[in-house]
Amino acid sequence: MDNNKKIPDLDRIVRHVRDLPTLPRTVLKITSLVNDPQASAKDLSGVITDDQVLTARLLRLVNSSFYGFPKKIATVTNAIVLLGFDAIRNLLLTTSIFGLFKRKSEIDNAVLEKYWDHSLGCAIGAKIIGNYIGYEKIEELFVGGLLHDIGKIVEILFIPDQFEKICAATKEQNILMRIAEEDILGFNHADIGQSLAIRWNMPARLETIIANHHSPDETTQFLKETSIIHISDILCRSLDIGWSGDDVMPALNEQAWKELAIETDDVRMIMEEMQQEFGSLKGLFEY
Amino acid sequence: MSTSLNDLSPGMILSEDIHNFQGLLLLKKNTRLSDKNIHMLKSWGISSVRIVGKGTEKYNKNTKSENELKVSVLNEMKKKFSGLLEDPVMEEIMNTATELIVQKRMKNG
Repeated sequence: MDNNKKIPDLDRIVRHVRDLPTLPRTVLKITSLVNDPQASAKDLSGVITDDQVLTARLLRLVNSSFYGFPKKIATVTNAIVLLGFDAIRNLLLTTSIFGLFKRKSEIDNAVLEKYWDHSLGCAIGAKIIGNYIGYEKIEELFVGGLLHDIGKIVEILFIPDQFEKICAATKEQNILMRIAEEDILGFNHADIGQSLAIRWNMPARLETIIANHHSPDETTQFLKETSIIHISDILCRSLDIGWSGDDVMPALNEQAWKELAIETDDVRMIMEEMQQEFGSLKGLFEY
Repeated sequence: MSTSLNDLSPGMILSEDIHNFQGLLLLKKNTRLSDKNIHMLKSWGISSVRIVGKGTEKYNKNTKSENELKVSVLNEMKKKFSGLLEDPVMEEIMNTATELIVQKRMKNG
Protein backbone atom coordinates (compact mmCIF):
# COMPACT_ATOMS: atom_id res chain seq x y z
CA MET A 1 0.00 0.00 0.00
CA ASP A 2 1.63 3.19 -1.18
CA ASN A 3 0.45 5.57 1.52
CA ASN A 4 2.35 8.57 0.26
CA LYS A 5 0.60 8.43 -3.06
CA LYS A 6 -2.85 8.23 -1.48
CA ILE A 7 -2.61 10.95 1.12
CA PRO A 8 -2.63 13.95 -1.29
CA ASP A 9 -5.95 12.66 -2.73
CA LEU A 10 -7.39 12.40 0.73
CA ASP A 11 -6.18 15.82 1.68
CA ARG A 12 -8.11 17.19 -1.22
CA ILE A 13 -11.33 15.60 -0.04
CA VAL A 14 -10.71 16.34 3.59
CA ARG A 15 -9.89 19.98 2.82
CA HIS A 16 -13.05 20.37 0.80
CA VAL A 17 -15.27 18.86 3.41
CA ARG A 18 -16.57 21.82 5.31
CA ASP A 19 -16.50 21.97 9.09
CA LEU A 20 -14.33 18.91 9.55
CA PRO A 21 -13.78 19.03 13.28
CA THR A 22 -10.62 20.15 15.01
CA LEU A 23 -9.71 18.92 18.45
CA PRO A 24 -11.05 20.99 21.34
CA ARG A 25 -8.62 23.59 22.62
CA THR A 26 -8.38 21.99 26.05
CA VAL A 27 -7.35 18.67 24.52
CA LEU A 28 -4.70 20.43 22.43
CA LYS A 29 -3.40 22.24 25.52
CA ILE A 30 -3.29 18.97 27.43
CA THR A 31 -1.37 17.29 24.62
CA SER A 32 1.32 19.96 24.67
CA LEU A 33 1.55 19.73 28.48
CA VAL A 34 1.80 15.97 28.29
CA ASN A 35 4.74 16.37 25.91
CA ASP A 36 6.44 18.91 28.19
CA PRO A 37 8.84 17.16 30.58
CA GLN A 38 8.59 20.09 33.01
CA ALA A 39 4.83 19.95 33.36
CA SER A 40 3.46 18.86 36.73
CA ALA A 41 0.25 17.09 37.71
CA LYS A 42 -0.88 20.41 39.13
CA ASP A 43 -0.36 22.16 35.77
CA LEU A 44 -2.34 19.49 33.99
CA SER A 45 -5.08 19.48 36.59
CA GLY A 46 -5.35 23.27 36.35
CA VAL A 47 -6.06 23.17 32.64
CA ILE A 48 -8.65 20.44 32.97
CA THR A 49 -10.53 21.89 35.93
CA ASP A 50 -10.97 25.19 34.05
CA ASP A 51 -13.52 23.30 31.98
CA GLN A 52 -16.29 22.09 34.26
CA VAL A 53 -18.02 19.91 31.70
CA LEU A 54 -14.78 18.17 30.76
CA THR A 55 -13.92 17.67 34.43
CA ALA A 56 -17.30 16.10 35.14
CA ARG A 57 -17.04 13.79 32.13
CA LEU A 58 -13.52 12.74 33.03
CA LEU A 59 -14.36 11.90 36.63
CA ARG A 60 -17.49 10.06 35.57
CA LEU A 61 -15.48 7.91 33.19
CA VAL A 62 -12.70 7.27 35.69
CA ASN A 63 -15.21 6.22 38.35
CA SER A 64 -17.24 4.00 36.03
CA SER A 65 -16.87 0.33 35.27
CA PHE A 66 -14.19 1.39 32.77
CA TYR A 67 -11.71 0.69 35.55
CA GLY A 68 -13.98 -0.72 38.22
CA PHE A 69 -11.91 0.87 40.98
CA PRO A 70 -13.25 -0.03 44.41
CA LYS A 71 -12.82 3.49 45.78
CA LYS A 72 -14.19 6.70 44.27
CA ILE A 73 -11.67 9.09 42.71
CA ALA A 74 -12.78 12.51 43.84
CA THR A 75 -10.41 14.94 42.12
CA VAL A 76 -8.72 15.40 38.79
CA THR A 77 -5.34 15.52 40.54
CA ASN A 78 -5.99 12.11 42.11
CA ALA A 79 -6.91 10.73 38.71
CA ILE A 80 -3.73 12.13 37.15
CA VAL A 81 -1.51 10.73 39.90
CA LEU A 82 -3.19 7.34 39.70
CA LEU A 83 -3.34 6.94 35.93
CA GLY A 84 -0.56 9.10 34.51
CA PHE A 85 -0.49 11.88 31.94
CA ASP A 86 -0.83 9.75 28.84
CA ALA A 87 -3.85 7.89 30.14
CA ILE A 88 -5.55 11.13 31.16
CA ARG A 89 -4.90 12.65 27.76
CA ASN A 90 -6.47 9.64 26.08
CA LEU A 91 -9.43 9.64 28.44
CA LEU A 92 -10.06 13.31 27.67
CA LEU A 93 -9.91 12.55 23.99
CA THR A 94 -12.37 9.71 24.54
CA THR A 95 -14.89 11.95 26.25
CA SER A 96 -14.49 14.67 23.59
CA ILE A 97 -14.75 12.66 20.39
CA PHE A 98 -18.49 12.14 20.21
CA GLY A 99 -19.21 15.84 20.62
CA LEU A 100 -17.02 16.66 17.62
CA PHE A 101 -19.25 14.80 15.20
CA LYS A 102 -22.60 16.35 15.82
CA ARG A 103 -25.79 14.80 14.57
CA LYS A 104 -27.38 16.58 11.62
CA SER A 105 -31.05 16.84 10.88
CA GLU A 106 -30.76 15.74 7.22
CA ILE A 107 -29.25 12.40 8.06
CA ASP A 108 -30.64 9.30 9.70
CA ASN A 109 -29.41 9.62 13.27
CA ALA A 110 -30.55 6.14 14.19
CA VAL A 111 -28.10 4.78 11.62
CA LEU A 112 -25.32 7.05 12.89
CA GLU A 113 -25.91 5.70 16.38
CA LYS A 114 -25.38 2.13 15.20
CA TYR A 115 -22.01 3.04 13.73
CA TRP A 116 -21.01 4.69 17.01
CA ASP A 117 -22.21 1.61 18.89
CA HIS A 118 -19.87 -0.50 16.78
CA SER A 119 -16.98 1.89 17.44
CA LEU A 120 -17.67 1.88 21.17
CA GLY A 121 -17.92 -1.91 21.15
CA CYS A 122 -14.61 -2.16 19.36
CA ALA A 123 -13.02 0.25 21.86
CA ILE A 124 -14.29 -1.85 24.74
CA GLY A 125 -13.06 -5.05 23.10
CA ALA A 126 -9.65 -3.48 22.57
CA LYS A 127 -9.44 -2.56 26.24
CA ILE A 128 -10.45 -6.06 27.33
CA ILE A 129 -8.00 -7.76 24.99
CA GLY A 130 -5.31 -5.29 26.04
CA ASN A 131 -5.87 -6.17 29.69
CA TYR A 132 -5.86 -9.86 28.81
CA ILE A 133 -2.44 -9.71 27.18
CA GLY A 134 -1.06 -7.33 29.78
CA TYR A 135 -0.72 -4.32 27.46
CA GLU A 136 -0.29 -1.17 29.52
CA LYS A 137 -1.65 1.71 27.49
CA ILE A 138 -5.22 0.51 27.38
CA GLU A 139 -6.61 4.04 27.19
CA GLU A 140 -4.85 4.49 23.87
CA LEU A 141 -6.27 1.20 22.62
CA PHE A 142 -9.69 2.51 23.62
CA VAL A 143 -9.20 5.63 21.52
CA GLY A 144 -7.97 3.47 18.65
CA GLY A 145 -11.14 1.40 18.83
CA LEU A 146 -13.33 4.50 18.91
CA LEU A 147 -11.59 5.96 15.88
CA HIS A 148 -10.93 2.92 13.72
CA ASP A 149 -14.09 3.51 11.68
CA ILE A 150 -14.23 7.28 12.09
CA GLY A 151 -13.88 7.48 8.32
CA LYS A 152 -17.40 6.05 7.99
CA ILE A 153 -18.75 8.69 10.38
CA VAL A 154 -17.04 11.34 8.22
CA GLU A 155 -18.69 9.87 5.13
CA ILE A 156 -22.15 9.84 6.72
CA LEU A 157 -21.91 13.42 7.94
CA PHE A 158 -19.90 15.10 5.20
CA ILE A 159 -20.42 13.21 1.94
CA PRO A 160 -23.86 11.68 2.51
CA ASP A 161 -24.76 11.29 -1.19
CA GLN A 162 -21.68 9.23 -1.89
CA PHE A 163 -22.20 7.33 1.34
CA GLU A 164 -25.66 6.35 0.15
CA LYS A 165 -24.17 4.97 -3.08
CA ILE A 166 -21.58 3.07 -1.06
CA CYS A 167 -24.28 1.55 1.16
CA ALA A 168 -26.35 0.51 -1.86
CA ALA A 169 -23.37 -1.13 -3.58
CA THR A 170 -22.36 -2.88 -0.34
CA LYS A 171 -25.82 -4.33 0.09
CA GLU A 172 -26.43 -5.26 -3.55
CA GLN A 173 -23.12 -7.00 -4.05
CA ASN A 174 -22.94 -8.38 -0.50
CA ILE A 175 -19.37 -7.16 -0.05
CA LEU A 176 -17.35 -5.48 2.66
CA MET A 177 -18.03 -1.75 2.79
CA ARG A 178 -14.41 -0.85 2.15
CA ILE A 179 -14.51 -2.59 -1.23
CA ALA A 180 -17.48 -0.43 -2.26
CA GLU A 181 -15.67 2.65 -0.88
CA GLU A 182 -12.59 1.89 -2.94
CA ASP A 183 -14.74 1.47 -6.06
CA ILE A 184 -16.70 4.66 -5.57
CA LEU A 185 -14.26 6.99 -3.80
CA GLY A 186 -10.88 5.56 -4.76
CA PHE A 187 -10.00 5.05 -1.09
CA ASN A 188 -11.62 3.59 2.02
CA HIS A 189 -12.62 4.66 5.54
CA ALA A 190 -9.28 3.54 6.99
CA ASP A 191 -7.55 6.02 4.67
CA ILE A 192 -9.93 8.80 5.73
CA GLY A 193 -9.32 7.93 9.37
CA GLN A 194 -5.58 8.01 8.82
CA SER A 195 -5.82 11.42 7.22
CA LEU A 196 -7.83 12.71 10.17
CA ALA A 197 -5.32 11.23 12.63
CA ILE A 198 -2.53 13.08 10.85
CA ARG A 199 -4.46 16.35 10.90
CA TRP A 200 -5.11 15.92 14.60
CA ASN A 201 -1.41 15.28 15.23
CA MET A 202 -2.10 11.95 16.79
CA PRO A 203 0.80 9.67 17.75
CA ALA A 204 2.10 7.41 14.98
CA ARG A 205 0.79 4.42 16.89
CA LEU A 206 -2.83 5.59 16.65
CA GLU A 207 -2.40 6.59 13.03
CA THR A 208 -1.10 3.12 12.19
CA ILE A 209 -3.89 1.38 14.09
CA ILE A 210 -6.55 3.31 12.20
CA ALA A 211 -4.88 2.99 8.80
CA ASN A 212 -4.16 -0.74 9.00
CA HIS A 213 -6.90 -2.30 11.10
CA HIS A 214 -8.08 -4.34 8.08
CA SER A 215 -4.63 -5.73 7.30
CA PRO A 216 -2.38 -5.66 10.38
CA ASP A 217 0.31 -7.64 8.58
CA GLU A 218 0.91 -4.65 6.31
CA THR A 219 2.29 -2.53 9.13
CA THR A 220 6.02 -2.34 9.75
CA GLN A 221 5.50 -1.29 13.35
CA PHE A 222 2.81 -1.44 16.07
CA LEU A 223 1.69 -4.88 14.94
CA LYS A 224 0.48 -5.71 18.44
CA GLU A 225 -1.77 -2.67 18.79
CA THR A 226 -3.13 -2.94 15.25
CA SER A 227 -3.84 -6.63 15.78
CA ILE A 228 -5.80 -5.85 18.93
CA ILE A 229 -8.11 -3.47 17.08
CA HIS A 230 -8.41 -5.88 14.14
CA ILE A 231 -9.51 -8.74 16.39
CA SER A 232 -11.76 -6.57 18.52
CA ASP A 233 -13.50 -5.36 15.36
CA ILE A 234 -14.20 -8.95 14.35
CA LEU A 235 -15.49 -9.96 17.79
CA CYS A 236 -17.68 -6.87 17.92
CA ARG A 237 -19.20 -7.65 14.53
CA SER A 238 -19.84 -11.25 15.53
CA LEU A 239 -21.69 -10.10 18.66
CA ASP A 240 -23.85 -7.71 16.64
CA ILE A 241 -22.79 -4.77 18.78
CA GLY A 242 -23.83 -1.86 16.60
CA TRP A 243 -23.31 -2.08 12.87
CA SER A 244 -20.29 -1.71 10.63
CA GLY A 245 -22.24 -1.21 7.42
CA ASP A 246 -21.80 -4.64 5.88
CA ASP A 247 -23.38 -8.07 6.35
CA VAL A 248 -20.23 -10.09 5.75
CA MET A 249 -17.35 -10.74 8.14
CA PRO A 250 -13.80 -9.83 7.23
CA ALA A 251 -11.32 -12.70 7.46
CA LEU A 252 -9.34 -13.03 10.67
CA ASN A 253 -5.75 -12.08 9.91
CA GLU A 254 -3.56 -15.04 10.80
CA GLN A 255 -0.56 -12.98 11.75
CA ALA A 256 -2.64 -10.79 14.04
CA TRP A 257 -4.01 -13.83 15.85
CA LYS A 258 -0.52 -15.35 16.25
CA GLU A 259 0.88 -12.03 17.46
CA LEU A 260 -1.49 -11.83 20.43
CA ALA A 261 -1.44 -15.56 21.25
CA ILE A 262 -4.98 -15.54 22.68
CA GLU A 263 -6.00 -18.99 23.89
CA THR A 264 -9.03 -20.23 21.98
CA ASP A 265 -10.50 -21.27 25.34
CA ASP A 266 -10.38 -17.65 26.51
CA VAL A 267 -12.28 -16.26 23.54
CA ARG A 268 -15.60 -16.87 25.25
CA MET A 269 -14.62 -14.99 28.39
CA ILE A 270 -13.44 -12.02 26.32
CA MET A 271 -16.65 -11.94 24.30
CA GLU A 272 -18.85 -12.21 27.40
CA GLU A 273 -17.04 -9.32 28.99
CA MET A 274 -17.41 -7.25 25.83
CA GLN A 275 -21.14 -7.81 25.81
CA GLN A 276 -21.45 -6.97 29.47
CA GLU A 277 -19.25 -3.89 29.45
CA PHE A 278 -20.98 -2.46 26.39
CA GLY A 279 -24.21 -2.63 28.33
CA SER A 280 -22.74 -0.76 31.28
CA LEU A 281 -20.58 1.81 29.46
CA LYS A 282 -22.93 2.86 26.70
CA GLY A 283 -24.90 5.12 29.03
CA LEU A 284 -21.78 7.19 29.71
CA PHE A 285 -21.46 8.55 26.19
CA GLU A 286 -23.81 10.81 24.28
CA TYR A 287 -23.98 10.35 20.54
CA MET B 1 -30.04 -21.58 48.99
CA SER B 2 -26.26 -21.38 48.97
CA THR B 3 -24.24 -23.01 46.24
CA SER B 4 -20.66 -24.11 46.70
CA LEU B 5 -18.14 -22.35 44.42
CA ASN B 6 -17.23 -25.68 42.85
CA ASP B 7 -20.77 -26.09 41.60
CA LEU B 8 -20.94 -22.67 39.95
CA SER B 9 -21.06 -22.26 36.18
CA PRO B 10 -20.76 -19.23 33.93
CA GLY B 11 -24.18 -17.82 33.19
CA MET B 12 -25.57 -18.28 36.69
CA ILE B 13 -26.78 -15.09 38.32
CA LEU B 14 -26.01 -13.94 41.87
CA SER B 15 -29.03 -13.33 44.10
CA GLU B 16 -27.05 -11.36 46.68
CA ASP B 17 -24.16 -8.88 46.97
CA ILE B 18 -20.86 -10.64 47.75
CA HIS B 19 -18.42 -9.03 50.17
CA ASN B 20 -14.96 -10.10 51.18
CA PHE B 21 -13.92 -10.51 54.83
CA GLN B 22 -13.14 -6.79 55.04
CA GLY B 23 -16.61 -5.83 53.91
CA LEU B 24 -15.43 -4.67 50.48
CA LEU B 25 -18.04 -5.25 47.81
CA LEU B 26 -16.70 -7.74 45.29
CA LEU B 27 -19.74 -8.44 43.12
CA LYS B 28 -23.21 -7.01 43.05
CA LYS B 29 -26.49 -8.86 43.20
CA ASN B 30 -27.73 -9.85 39.72
CA THR B 31 -24.22 -10.13 38.33
CA ARG B 32 -23.98 -12.83 35.72
CA LEU B 33 -21.14 -15.15 36.68
CA SER B 34 -18.26 -15.76 34.31
CA ASP B 35 -15.18 -17.94 34.60
CA LYS B 36 -13.23 -14.82 35.49
CA ASN B 37 -15.34 -13.67 38.40
CA ILE B 38 -15.83 -17.20 39.75
CA HIS B 39 -12.05 -17.43 39.80
CA MET B 40 -11.89 -14.07 41.56
CA LEU B 41 -14.30 -15.22 44.27
CA LYS B 42 -12.19 -18.31 44.82
CA SER B 43 -9.09 -16.23 45.22
CA TRP B 44 -10.86 -14.21 47.92
CA GLY B 45 -11.59 -17.42 49.81
CA ILE B 46 -15.35 -17.24 49.30
CA SER B 47 -16.74 -20.75 49.68
CA SER B 48 -20.37 -20.40 48.67
CA VAL B 49 -22.81 -17.87 47.22
CA ARG B 50 -26.53 -17.56 46.63
CA ILE B 51 -27.68 -17.69 43.06
CA VAL B 52 -30.98 -17.22 41.29
CA GLY B 53 -32.83 -20.48 40.80
CA LYS B 54 -32.20 -23.76 42.62
CA GLY B 55 -28.66 -24.04 41.40
CA THR B 56 -29.02 -27.76 41.00
CA GLU B 57 -30.56 -27.52 37.56
CA LYS B 58 -28.19 -27.05 34.65
CA TYR B 59 -28.42 -23.39 33.71
CA ASN B 60 -28.50 -23.97 30.01
CA LYS B 61 -31.58 -26.18 29.99
CA ASN B 62 -32.89 -25.79 26.49
CA THR B 63 -36.47 -24.64 26.25
CA LYS B 64 -38.24 -24.90 22.93
CA SER B 65 -38.18 -21.16 22.21
CA GLU B 66 -34.51 -20.96 23.09
CA ASN B 67 -33.74 -23.76 20.63
CA GLU B 68 -35.75 -22.08 17.88
CA LEU B 69 -33.96 -18.82 18.52
CA LYS B 70 -30.61 -20.56 18.47
CA VAL B 71 -31.35 -22.16 15.10
CA SER B 72 -32.38 -18.88 13.53
CA VAL B 73 -29.42 -16.95 14.94
CA LEU B 74 -27.03 -19.69 13.83
CA ASN B 75 -28.40 -19.54 10.30
CA GLU B 76 -27.81 -15.78 10.16
CA MET B 77 -24.33 -16.27 11.55
CA LYS B 78 -23.43 -18.91 9.00
CA LYS B 79 -24.32 -16.52 6.20
CA LYS B 80 -22.24 -13.80 7.80
CA PHE B 81 -19.23 -16.08 8.31
CA SER B 82 -19.61 -17.81 4.98
CA GLY B 83 -16.31 -18.79 3.42
CA LEU B 84 -14.45 -18.22 6.68
CA LEU B 85 -15.37 -21.26 8.75
CA GLU B 86 -12.42 -23.40 7.76
CA ASP B 87 -10.53 -21.29 10.27
CA PRO B 88 -11.20 -23.05 13.62
CA VAL B 89 -10.85 -19.75 15.48
CA MET B 90 -13.59 -18.17 13.37
CA GLU B 91 -15.76 -21.22 14.00
CA GLU B 92 -15.26 -20.82 17.73
CA ILE B 93 -16.05 -17.11 17.51
CA MET B 94 -19.21 -17.82 15.52
CA ASN B 95 -20.47 -20.49 17.91
CA THR B 96 -19.71 -18.42 20.99
CA ALA B 97 -21.36 -15.36 19.50
CA THR B 98 -24.46 -17.40 18.67
CA GLU B 99 -24.75 -18.59 22.26
CA LEU B 100 -24.17 -15.16 23.76
CA ILE B 101 -26.64 -13.46 21.44
CA VAL B 102 -29.30 -16.08 22.21
CA GLN B 103 -28.64 -15.72 25.94
CA LYS B 104 -28.97 -11.95 25.73
CA ARG B 105 -32.18 -12.05 23.72
CA MET B 106 -33.68 -14.63 26.07
CA LYS B 107 -32.78 -12.46 29.05
CA ASN B 108 -34.23 -9.31 27.53
CA GLY B 109 -37.43 -11.10 26.56
